[in-house]
Amino acid sequence: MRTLPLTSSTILGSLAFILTTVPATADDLSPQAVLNMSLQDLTNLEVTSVSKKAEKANEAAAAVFVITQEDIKRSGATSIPEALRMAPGIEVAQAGAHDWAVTSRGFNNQFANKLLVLIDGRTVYNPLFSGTIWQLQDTLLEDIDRIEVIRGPGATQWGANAVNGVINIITKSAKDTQGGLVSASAGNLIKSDDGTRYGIKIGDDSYARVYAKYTDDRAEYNVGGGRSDDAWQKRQAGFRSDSKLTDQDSLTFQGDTYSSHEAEDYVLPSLTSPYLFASPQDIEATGGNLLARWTRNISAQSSTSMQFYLDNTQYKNSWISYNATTADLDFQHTWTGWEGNEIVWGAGYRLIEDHDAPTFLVSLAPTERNYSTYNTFLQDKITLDPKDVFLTLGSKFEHNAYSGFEVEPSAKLSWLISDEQMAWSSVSRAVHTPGRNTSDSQVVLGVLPTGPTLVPAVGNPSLDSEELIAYELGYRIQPIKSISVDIATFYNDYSKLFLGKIGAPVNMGSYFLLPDVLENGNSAHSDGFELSTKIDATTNWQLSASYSYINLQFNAKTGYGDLTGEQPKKQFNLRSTYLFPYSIEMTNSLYYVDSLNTLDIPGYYRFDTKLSYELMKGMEVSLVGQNLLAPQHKEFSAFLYQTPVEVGRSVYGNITWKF
Amino acid sequence: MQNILRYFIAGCLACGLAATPLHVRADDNKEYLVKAAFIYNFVKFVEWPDGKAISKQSNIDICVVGNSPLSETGNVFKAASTAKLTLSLVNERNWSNAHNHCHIVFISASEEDKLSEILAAMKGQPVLMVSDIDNFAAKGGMIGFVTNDNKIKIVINAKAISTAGLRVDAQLLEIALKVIDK
Repeated sequence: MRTLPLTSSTILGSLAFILTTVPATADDLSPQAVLNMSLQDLTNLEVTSVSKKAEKANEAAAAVFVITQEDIKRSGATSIPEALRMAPGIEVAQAGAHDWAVTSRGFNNQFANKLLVLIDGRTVYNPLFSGTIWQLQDTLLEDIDRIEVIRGPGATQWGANAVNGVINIITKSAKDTQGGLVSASAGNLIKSDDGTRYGIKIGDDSYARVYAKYTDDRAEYNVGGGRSDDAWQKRQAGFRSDSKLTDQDSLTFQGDTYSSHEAEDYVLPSLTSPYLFASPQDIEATGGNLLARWTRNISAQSSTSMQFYLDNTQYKNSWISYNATTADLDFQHTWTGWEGNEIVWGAGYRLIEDHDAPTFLVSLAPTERNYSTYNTFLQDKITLDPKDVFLTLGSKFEHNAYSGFEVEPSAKLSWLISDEQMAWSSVSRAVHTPGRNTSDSQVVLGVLPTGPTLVPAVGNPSLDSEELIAYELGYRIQPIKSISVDIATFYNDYSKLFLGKIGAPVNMGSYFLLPDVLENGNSAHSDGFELSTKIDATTNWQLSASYSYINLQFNAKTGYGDLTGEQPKKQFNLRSTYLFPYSIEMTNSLYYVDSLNTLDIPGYYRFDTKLSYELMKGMEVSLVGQNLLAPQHKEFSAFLYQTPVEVGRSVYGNITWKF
Repeated sequence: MQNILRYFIAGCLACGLAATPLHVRADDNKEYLVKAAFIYNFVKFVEWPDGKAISKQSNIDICVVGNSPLSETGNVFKAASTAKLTLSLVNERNWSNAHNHCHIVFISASEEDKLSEILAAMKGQPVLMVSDIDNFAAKGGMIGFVTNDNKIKIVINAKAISTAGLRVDAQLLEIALKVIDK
């Protein structure tokens, strides 16, 4: 046998390994170590067996983008909304140290109400604000497996409020987070951001982890300079266990608890001159949740999942005090026993119990309410002839306490043109249902000096749901193995949008009341596209880029508010990760967000960079710069009573140790 | 803005100057990492006839036909390449193109229903046919992967290999779970 050129080399870094005995499993070996093993050792290596057929890259008939753990780590993001900047078509605006506005395909707001967010199957949509309080949605970022970002409606599967998009934050199984982790960060804006996790084996094929984290962020900046007063601290802890009970049954338990303390510079309306007063104060928020999920693989063709969770959220300051508890039960069954069909059906029940202590500025009537939602859904993915064309038909049937019965159907067609190309299109209906804030609330918007006149936004108990009919078309191609391109286009037709209309003034004696009553006021339409690409330029150099465009127009109707011009028409991002020798890694990200014309926010570029170095096995140090282009810039307008805040340049260092 | 673009580009230019890769991307799928390592060993322990013989300066194409997680192990072969020997993982949708340039063809489990057709067409070609389809070697393939007690073993069909004009080193036969010679 002749000597091959390669036998003389390729012994890179794994000498230590060769000198020791063979480890029991391949799971903790580097590719290089496995490559350098002898044939005899290879045959004795234990592996965890997987399906022989690879899941094809992305066959979903929807505009899906997946942010992986690696993406999060490389981006230097310290929170979930920061990580979401990587997804095409998602608008992420930071409105202060602890406030975020995140949406998909338009209608952004601090409580953007057309985006549904789930963490491990638990809806984190806040029942009072009909939106996500982003700063309270967190976990140890290192334990996130992936974030699936779906633009466009997902109501057939996820139900009401999955109107413009769904964000699924999925944490790793406890089996994949064994051992310890300690991470500590500090910088000019991050006073400290520390986390720790420990995972152990608790039985035969049964694993658990616990984690705790502490975030302490310094205040951002006032418009025109100077520090704002919005520093905040948050403590959070949680656990997860994953057990395989039998070959068929798996059980997951998890839970989190948190408490947050947010400073805020409010300017509150008042009926006495000068009708506004500064009120710097703190908002205290606490919450927790417990979830259990039982999955059972009945046969190769049939599997079920049953999930139950409890979630409590509460917050309190001088003008709001709200406490909500949600109990949710969900069942799902997937059945592929009928050839050419993949049937998924399920049913769910959710009960929310909340109460509010009314204040002059915010009140709910009734102050306490129990309300429930129940639903069932059925979906069938039908293989058409030829076998690479699929038609997915389905609908959610849902009943809620406000608008009653809702139907959310969709039809999707996907065509796997080849292993490298697929095309899809869909038509779907989604609704955003009324809730506590739109039906039972009164929120003072301001006080006019003449009178004086109190202007509150007043809920309307007879509102119908907001409706969307969405038309989508998408195409994915992998022209060569190292390049993938994804294009999605959409046309959205909205009707019955909740918008305020100023009513007639009412004489209240010492003042006048000018109500801004919510009605199913206006219709709107949007069109646009998102383009994203990933390129493995070399083994060590990965690039990704995305561009998105949206044109959202409100159909003119006098007397109603109009949100045209509140969306960035264009956004793009460009990211580059390079793996240098000696375990040095550098990621540069450039983001552009177009101007929000009617909110008077200019377009901005944002540049982030992260340089990391593996000191020793399991220990990594990194330096991150965020918003490097300008000392401060504005991303969004102030919410309700808040003072406008700009986001500053941030530099922090991190050390992470895994053991 | 311009400065930043410059920094961005400069950062990437520095990337280009970097030396040889020291780590490949972590591969979640260890089963196929191990299979890739086996295939890398096949390159060392199999001799191809003239025309395909590995010289001091060779490009070896390892072709994956169909849909297999093995397709994701390209980086492993890149990492194993040296200045004199380049190993490339090529994904071939159409198996009939495979024998022209491939030293090794891996037939994915997705192609099981076309197996006899593929083997018949490739018969006698100087291409090492590898697969993890059940009983691959017994069905006329050359090297089949089998999973035994969570360990990956190989079954060699010596007859099929010699018919194709290939020669296997004794070390490979020694570690085989089974050698078929008919």
